[in-house]
Amino acid sequence: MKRSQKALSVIAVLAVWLPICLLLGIANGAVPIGLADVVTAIFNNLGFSLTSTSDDFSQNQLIIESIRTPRVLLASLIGAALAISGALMQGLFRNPLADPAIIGVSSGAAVGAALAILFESVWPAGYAHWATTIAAFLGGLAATWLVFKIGTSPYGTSVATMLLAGIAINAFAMAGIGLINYMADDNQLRSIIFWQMGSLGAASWLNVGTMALVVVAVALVLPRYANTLNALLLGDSEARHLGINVDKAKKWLIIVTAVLVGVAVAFAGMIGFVGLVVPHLVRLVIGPDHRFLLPATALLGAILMVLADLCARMVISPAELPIGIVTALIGAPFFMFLLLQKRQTISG
Amino acid sequence: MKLTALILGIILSTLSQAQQRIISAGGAMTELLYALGVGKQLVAVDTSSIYPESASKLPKIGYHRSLSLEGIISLQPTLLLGSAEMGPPNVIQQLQSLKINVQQLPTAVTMTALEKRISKVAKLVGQGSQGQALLAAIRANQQQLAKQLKAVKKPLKGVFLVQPGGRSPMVAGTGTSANTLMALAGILNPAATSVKGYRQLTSESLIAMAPEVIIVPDHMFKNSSSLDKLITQQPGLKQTPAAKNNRVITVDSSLLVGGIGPRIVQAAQKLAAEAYPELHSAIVKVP
Repeated sequence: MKRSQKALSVIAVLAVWLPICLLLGIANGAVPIGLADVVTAIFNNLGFSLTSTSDDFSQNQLIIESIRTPRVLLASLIGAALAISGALMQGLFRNPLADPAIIGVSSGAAVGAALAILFESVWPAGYAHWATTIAAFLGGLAATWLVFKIGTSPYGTSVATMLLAGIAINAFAMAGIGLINYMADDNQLRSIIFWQMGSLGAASWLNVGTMALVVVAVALVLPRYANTLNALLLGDSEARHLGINVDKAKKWLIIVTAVLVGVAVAFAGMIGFVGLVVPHLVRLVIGPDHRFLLPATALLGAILMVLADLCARMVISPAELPIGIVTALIGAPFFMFLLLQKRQTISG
Repeated sequence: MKLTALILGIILSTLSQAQQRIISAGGAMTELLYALGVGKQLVAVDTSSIYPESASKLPKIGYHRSLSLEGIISLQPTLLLGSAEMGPPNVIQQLQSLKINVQQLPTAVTMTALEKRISKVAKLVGQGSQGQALLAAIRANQQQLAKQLKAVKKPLKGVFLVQPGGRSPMVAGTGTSANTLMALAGILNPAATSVKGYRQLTSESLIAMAPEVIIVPDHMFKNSSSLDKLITQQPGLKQTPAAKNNRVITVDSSLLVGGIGPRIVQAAQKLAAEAYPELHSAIVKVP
């Protein structure tokens, strides 16, 4: 009882922090905008019509409306998506080292995107970036489908085989990217490399909407799988004895992960580390019960991504850092510090 | 009354002309803007703009394919000049919707493309006559060089090599600034028949090309030991006439990044003077 109360209070704290971080993300950027203008612009968009005395309010409002807000929202949705899929993979594979990359979705998406960039002259002008986005999504799904098919036999789905298939697909994808890099010209090569570092620079209301649709759909479905994931932690046969259709559950969890990560990667490129680390952080604090782990992971993932993107935008302004580099640069040392602190607790 | 309005209008328009806030994305573009005399109106450049020195002191907007929308807005530019590859596309669209004049010009790797680029950019920044003068000077130099090179009885075969990260060198083929530079300097590029862009070649094909001169960008070969390494450690390169006669020429690498710029003919003059020492005295006279 005590543990679940602690978990709930952690979720509540995170739920309070998320809007604060969103606001922080909207209020800061390369163009300095006063807090009064920020608040006015937000209220205007919520349907209240306030007027501002500020001289360049119309430009500021435009920046908040069409640049910062969609970007911050996209960051939070992608953070949540990546973190949830990390938690799902770690639960499914019963392995704390699992992350979405393990089922090939990221490397498959990278191959898709690289191919689209290599053949960008094929697409009609102006559609090249859509081609990249769609190719990345399809590449991610295709790789995951292949991993799943290899892992599934008439006797059921073996996560161990899937793990090995994932390694094979990742290696194959890396070779494919290498080949594409070799064939690409200078500009394409740089585009491919930048794509792989991740960026939220392409945020628009359209992709915020798409991403929100996916995340909300997943959020509605997932609570049903929390107990399944808890049962899977005991082992496949134990879960079966508890009356769970293990193979069906595995299939759905993989589909959910592939779609979540596929869309996230398609919109923002490769953003590592969030999926691996956020579920860990949450588990260290509130324990492995997926009923609390999943929502807390989503919230923390969103918060961290918004803050990481803020760093990416501010540190070398007017230029910006690739977000994947920021998440790893900040996240990895913090995670190491946490591991050192909690060493005894984890091993004991 | 009308007259004052007219005068006021002229003053205002010249003022607005003078107050252009330009951002340049691309080394060759930045160089061109300085050559057109609007360097002072630049408020920021991209990371490849390293020439002239004052350009490198301006704020950097990052790499031209992953521009930061808000970072650019924060500099309040009136004109953003960049290559056709500049992006991402939604950033370009948003900048245009904010009434910022965004111009994407194809990267020039040939002389015709360079001439087109110069007249277009000169018009965009209101320096039409300056542009015409620059074009005339470039053409005059080019013609003079071509005339001087007629004295060459047997043109040299050469390869342009870059060596990224100490690995095996890449050779410049067609569609590269280096290829244009060599053509201007009267050096034959055997790689141009089979290679497009920059490619790694097998040692054997390098031997088959039998270059009599090797051209390298200076930033990769600051000291002679790295040059020696390039030649002695590459099995194929060692066998070429160029390596045997130790004929290696370095060129200023800032000239060739992001296409060719207005200094290309001067660079070609310098390269030709080094490649054909017999013409040295004739060529070096050119300013």
